[in-house]
Parts: sequence; structure tokens; C-alpha cells
Amino acid sequence: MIATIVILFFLLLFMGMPIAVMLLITTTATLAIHTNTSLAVIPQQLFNALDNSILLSIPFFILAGNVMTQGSMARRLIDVVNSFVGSFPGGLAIAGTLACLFFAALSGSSPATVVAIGSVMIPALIEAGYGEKFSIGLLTSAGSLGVVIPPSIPMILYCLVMNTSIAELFMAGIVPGLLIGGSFIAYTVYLARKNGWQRSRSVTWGERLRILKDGIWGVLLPVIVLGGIYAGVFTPTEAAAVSLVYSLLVEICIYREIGIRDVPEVCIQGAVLSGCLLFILASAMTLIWLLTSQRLPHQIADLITAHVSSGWVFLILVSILFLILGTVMDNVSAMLILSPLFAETLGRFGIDYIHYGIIMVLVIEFGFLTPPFGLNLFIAMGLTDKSLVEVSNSIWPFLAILLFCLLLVTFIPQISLFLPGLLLR
Amino acid sequence: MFRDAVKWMAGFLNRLEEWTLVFILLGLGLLSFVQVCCRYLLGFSFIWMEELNRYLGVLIAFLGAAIGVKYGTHFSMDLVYEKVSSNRFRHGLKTAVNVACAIMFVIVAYYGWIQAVKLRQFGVRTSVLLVPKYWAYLPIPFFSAIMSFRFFDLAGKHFQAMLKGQPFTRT
Amino acid sequence: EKITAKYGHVAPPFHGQSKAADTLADYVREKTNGAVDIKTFPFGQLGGETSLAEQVQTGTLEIATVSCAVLSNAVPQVAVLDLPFLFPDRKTAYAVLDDPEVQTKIFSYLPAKGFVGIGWTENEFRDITNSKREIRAPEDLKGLKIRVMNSPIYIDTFKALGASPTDLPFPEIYNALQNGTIDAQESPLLTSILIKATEVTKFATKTQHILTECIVVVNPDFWAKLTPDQQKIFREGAALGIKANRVVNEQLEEKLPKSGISVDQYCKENNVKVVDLTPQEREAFKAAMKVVWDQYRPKVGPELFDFVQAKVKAHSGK
Ligand code: NA
Ligand code: NA
Repeated sequence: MIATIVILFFLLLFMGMPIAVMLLITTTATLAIHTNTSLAVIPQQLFNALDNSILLSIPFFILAGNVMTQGSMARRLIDVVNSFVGSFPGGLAIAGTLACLFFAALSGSSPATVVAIGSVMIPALIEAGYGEKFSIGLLTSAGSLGVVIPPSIPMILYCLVMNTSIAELFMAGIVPGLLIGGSFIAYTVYLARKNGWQRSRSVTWGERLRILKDGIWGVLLPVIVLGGIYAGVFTPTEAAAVSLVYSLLVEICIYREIGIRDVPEVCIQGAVLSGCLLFILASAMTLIWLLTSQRLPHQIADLITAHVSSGWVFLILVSILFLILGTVMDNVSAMLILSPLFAETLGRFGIDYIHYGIIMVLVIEFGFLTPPFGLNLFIAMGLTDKSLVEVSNSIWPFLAILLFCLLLVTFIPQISLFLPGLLLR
Repeated sequence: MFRDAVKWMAGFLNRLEEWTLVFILLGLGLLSFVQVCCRYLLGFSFIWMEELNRYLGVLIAFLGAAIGVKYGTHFSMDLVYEKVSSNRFRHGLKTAVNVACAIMFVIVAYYGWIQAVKLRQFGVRTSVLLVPKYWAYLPIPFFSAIMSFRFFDLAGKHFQAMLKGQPFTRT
Repeated sequence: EKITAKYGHVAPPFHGQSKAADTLADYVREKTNGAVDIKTFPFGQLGGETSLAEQVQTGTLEIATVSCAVLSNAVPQVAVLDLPFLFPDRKTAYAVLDDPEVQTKIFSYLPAKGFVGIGWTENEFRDITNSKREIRAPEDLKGLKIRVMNSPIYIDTFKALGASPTDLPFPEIYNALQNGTIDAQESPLLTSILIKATEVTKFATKTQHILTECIVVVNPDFWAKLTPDQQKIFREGAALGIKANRVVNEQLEEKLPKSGISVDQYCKENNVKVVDLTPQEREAFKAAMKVVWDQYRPKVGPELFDFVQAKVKAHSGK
């Protein structure tokens, strides 16, 4: 039976079948061949997976991201950040990283962050003489912070399949996100010193305040969203709706970048994308149901605890597995299947679900950046007209930094658990 | 004349499904926002909000996925289509993949329909809105049927292209 | 020929309800000499309660335990056991539930809706914890934003008490209570401790407003495949199950998982203020529930309603 699942899974995957349908066919065929359970269970489990109000936060966050990118919030955010750090050595590049950090706190997705910040900053950096390779590499990598800094769609998906608290996981992502962003900035400063990159002209405080006033509505949103969650005004699910309504109101009424008639056009792409994402979730959970009903998580836990000596070794092995998987497929789908499958193993090793969740988010971030299949790479190709090889070559130094951060986060659980422990436990 | 009417109708239905999706999502977002304001300011909340979110969530996933088939939004791993250069092979493989997907959704639509019929027969209602539970299931057979139709359509197109040996373009 | 069956429920593995399920499975395996093999799946592994009920109805799952609250969506009559302040005390409740006439009567409504009822499991009497104040009278609940079980009679009960009932997905409850998005939640005090709600809501009142009774439901087609002897064994197993269920819950009161201390001691150590209602205070709550009782008498059917009332009366004070 395991053989049937594995063979079908990879065969259909490599045939280029949509992942959601591939999961469904794998489940259905295995059910029909190896059990006598009626296939009526397929729609039941699809329904059961979707019958959860938390998952609406996914379309809300995706739509909010679209509105902010197609409106002017993202651009104004870049202006604000640039006015403050532009005059340091390598200032424009630091501003790019900071803008990614900021936009990551607005958006739940990594490719969306690359689009929002990269489309403006990559050409700007290249024009300012930072070199194509560095400029593309930095923004493509820093954009992936979108999934580490809350809100984050992979985090919501992880909490859905593992039944843990979104508020806690969101909180746990902040320090690792800042760590990665900080490391990118440190690397930028090092290169700026080494290469003697110029500073842009400095900006007066008067100008800064004017730019800040222009961009204040965007700067306020992360404060409202995270503040609102932790002050008890709304739940993380409702926060998604609040940020959608807020960004629509700001772009329509204050910035007047989006007319009320444009709203459906702005939203449709994100809405369809989220439908597809939810469908993958539902299909994945249907496969998980099948695996669970055959007691597979239990057997896997037995197998792993018999051969793997400690939780640390297990975490390393899982990370390596995901780093390999992430080169050829979307790690989000792999996380959806494998996390519940490993849940019992985590329990036996005493690994915190939140700590493990952050590791998952980091390997997903990696997957966005590793060729041949990496969503951020594809986005960067679209933004710059470069080939996959050229874009891939530009990101190696940043991947090395990310790998270092992944090791730190794995072996020092406090990096992720400190903040939720302080504020939520 | 008749053809024009059919074309217009198809275009209208296409836009109808997209607008439905967007307006349900925006409507739910707005309702959630109102709910937050009411609860925070007036200490009052809509008990039916959670249930409405859950059941419309099912609708959104299936409706969005159905539109996704039309636009090729569904994630897939297309490595093989980049590595192999034979047009006939690529069209042939796509035909097979789309036929398999179409059959899968025939199955989902059929069993989804059976499930809805059973729930109706047993008179199951939802816990808060107290409406028939089978309503919440109906999007599954309905949009699965649409997806199935679209996958068959795609399969047909690739099959014809394979016979004619047309060049393969990524969608 | 060997018969295999899956048995799904939502309780955690150490809970009395899990013990009940495992007891049934073990008993059936032993008494049928392995001819019937039941595998149990705790913790909602096969789906939430609503889904489990639907799976049993369509035969994709053979056995499940489903609370009366959820089951009442398909079988409105079972809500009769969820009437607030129906049972004066635990002893009466158990006497009523163990009464064969009561079981036969209540389970008689199930087959028309695609279930065979063979016994009970139980998740304790429900209490209220909140972050605002001590609750001793119905008025104390006024205006509290309380998370309640997603079922009409629960919602109506708390509306009648003047609270503002709301629903949240289970994993969100802790944070929502902690940061004040909601003020209160209702579940057995034991459960409140297990989900750590007592860390953030320091006032607990043992209102014991509803007994969370669940019915062990079996798919009718599967049931028909069993021989009468096997059916009898299933029913005996279920009867042993509810006994084990009650024992384990009592033990959990004395010895919580992980910490190993009793519920009382936990509350003392964690500054949880526990209020036990006096008989008069309980009467005040019961009086406030008259609207709900009047509302549900026609809903569950006057005959069944009066039958259960009579049984409660007959068994109380013995
Ligand atoms: Na983010
Ligand atoms: Na990758």
C-alpha cells in the first residue's frame, strides 16, 4: 500500500498533474485498491478539511496583499524606508531589505513580497550601480521573508493541519525573521564597505516627515494587525479580514489609487489563487486521513524512534529531506502531508510544535529560492527578463546566510519560542 | 445569430462565476470587520458568523479551484515539459493528465451528489443557522462537474494538437 | 470471515471517553475470538464530530461517539438530554442514563436517521470559567462574551442567561481568552484545565449546567451484518465502556495527566477561584432556564420531554 502511494505520488507529480488533483487521485486509487471503504469518503474528507473558519484568513491575506501591491502602499513604504536609511553606505540596498521586512509584516506570501518590493527596488538598485547579480539576489531572497514574518500563509496552513495556535506561531516567527533580515543587512554593509558603494544624497528631517506622512497608512497596518491580535480586539482569522478592509479603504478613499470599479479586477487573481491553495489543503488532508486510518503516523514514529537517536538528529534529517524536496516541488504541499505524518514522532521526541513549525516555515522559504523549482526565482525571472540560471546564480550567498540562520533556529529553540513564551504562555 | 447568443452567454457565465467569488470573499471580509467592531465596541457578536464562514469557505475553495482550471492557476511541476522537446509527446502526456483529472472529478461529483442526497434524506440541519446541511455540500458536486468538463475540454484541445503536431506552448 | 471496523471519536487518548472506546474494542475482540476487530482512532483523527456522524450515516465509518449536541442536528429529539440543569446531581443522571427504558426510548429515534445507538460515553458535566468575576447567579453572566458549544440548545441557554454567546475554532480559544477577545468559555472544569483555559480565566463556577453525554453510534448496514450474538456483545462492550469512562474521569479529577496533582490542588496552586453552587443558587439558575425548557418541549416532542422528566423525578433522591 505504501508502495502504491509513493509510486502514484511521484509518477503523477512528474507527469505535471496539478498537485491538488495528484493528491486526490493517489488517495482515491489507493482506497479503491487496498481497502473496501466507499469512495463517498472523498467528498466527506474534502468537506471536513474545508469546514474550518480559520482557512478564510488565507484568501483575505492574499487579497490584501494584491490590493497593497496594485495600489500605492508598497511604493510609499519603500519611499519611507529609503528616506531613513538611504544615506548609509549601501543605503539603497538596506532600504530594499527593510522594505521587504516591512512588507512581509503586511503580506502573508513570499512571491507577493518579491513582486511588491522587487519590481521597484531591483531596477533602482541596478541603476544605482549595485550590480545586477547582487540586486536580483538580495531582493529575491529578502522577499521570502514574507512567509517568516507574520502574517504568513504557510504558518496558517501548518496550524490548520497540526491544530495549534496561529497567534503563537505568528509570534514565534518575528525573531527568526528579524535575524534573517538583519543578516542580509549585515552582508550588504560588508559588501558596501568592501566595494566602496556610494551613498545616495541625504534627506532632511523635513522631507522625511513629509514622506512618512504620505506613507503612514501603510506603516500603521502591521501595528494595527499585530497590535489588534495581542490586545484582544480580534483573532488572527479576523485580523486577515481587517487588513483586507483596511487596505481597500486606504487605497480607495485616502490614496485614491484604486477606483471602486477596479476592485473586482484587482481581487480576482488572488481569489482564484487562494481557491487553488485551499483545494491543495483539502486534498492533502484527504490523503492524511487515508494514511492515519491505516495507522501510518504510528508506524512511522516507531520506525524513526527505533533508528534515530535524538530529536536533534531527527530535525536535521527532516530539514535535509525538505531541502532536497524543495528543489523540485513546492515545499508547502510537502509540509501539509509530512507534518501530520510526523506529529506522533515529534511528541515522542518532545519537540515543540511551534518550534517545529518555524523550522518548517524556514525550509519552505528555502524551497522558494532553490532551483530548478522555486516560485521566487520564477517571479524574479519575470521581473528582470533573466534566465533561470542567471537568477539562480545570484542567490547562492543569500542561501548560505539562510542556511546558517536555519541551523541557529533549529539548535536554539529559544530564538523562536522566547517571544510567545514571554507574551502568550 | 444563435452562435453570438451562445458566445455571449458563455462570456456572461464566465464573468458571473468570477464576480460571485470576489463578492462572496469581499462580503465575508466586510462582515468579519463589522463583527469585530460590534464585539469590541458593543460587546455583541453574530453567533452565526463562524458557521457562515465555514460553509462559504467550502464554496470558495471549489469555486476558486474551478476557475483555476480555466486559467491554469493550479500548481504543478512542469519539469518534464521543459526537458522533453517532442511536441507530440508533450501534447500526448497533457491529454492523459487532463483525462485523468476529468475522471477524478467525475468521481468527486458523483459521490458528492450522493452525500448531499443522503443528508437531505436524513433531514440534517446546521447547528446555528438551522438551514439544511446538504446546501453546504452542493458546491462539491456542482463545481466538480464543471472542473471535470473543463479538464475534458483541455484534454480534447491537447489531443487535437497532438494529432496535428502543433508546437507546445506553456500556459 | 473476519470483520474489521474503525471507531472514531474526538477525545484525547488519556481521557475516559478513549477508555470507553478501547474497552468496547477489546471486549468485542475477546468475546468474538477475534472475529470482529475494531480499531479505535482518538483525537478527531478521522474527522470532527459532525463529520464522524456523517461518515457513520453513509457507511464510510462503522462506529463513532458523537455528542448529543452534534447529533441533535440530525436527530432533534436527543437534545432532550442537553436541557440545561436537567439533572439535579450526578447520581440521578447516571441512574437515568443507565435505565434500559431510557436507552431504548432515546435510541429509538436514531435508525430513521442512519444510526444505531448502542450505548453512551461521557465527557463530564460542563462548568464555566471566566476572566471577569465570580459567577453565582444568572445575572452574573450578563454581557459576558462566552464561547459555547456549537449547538442550538447551548446557544439558547446562554442567550437566556443574558450572555453573548460566540463561537471560535478550538485552537483559538486559549489566546482569545488570554487577550480578552472573549471573556468566558463553558466546558467541564477538567477540560478547561487540560486546554489551559484556567491559566487565563481565574474564575471557575461549577455550574454543571449540562452533562456532555455522547452516543455510541453504529452504521446500520454494518450492524445488520453482525449476528445477534455479536450485536449483544457490542452492547455489553458499550455498557462496560461507559463504566470505565466514568471511573477514568473520576481518576483524572484526582490525578491530572503530566502534573499528577488533583483538580482541587491544581486550582489552589494556580489561584483559580472555584465556586460550588449551593442548592438555592442552582435553583435560581434552573428557574432562569424555564424559557429554554418551554422552547424545547415542542421541539423534542412533548411525550419524550415528559417521559425524561418523569424518569429524572423517579430516580432522584434515591
Ligand atoms: Na508575512
Ligand atoms: Na525550490
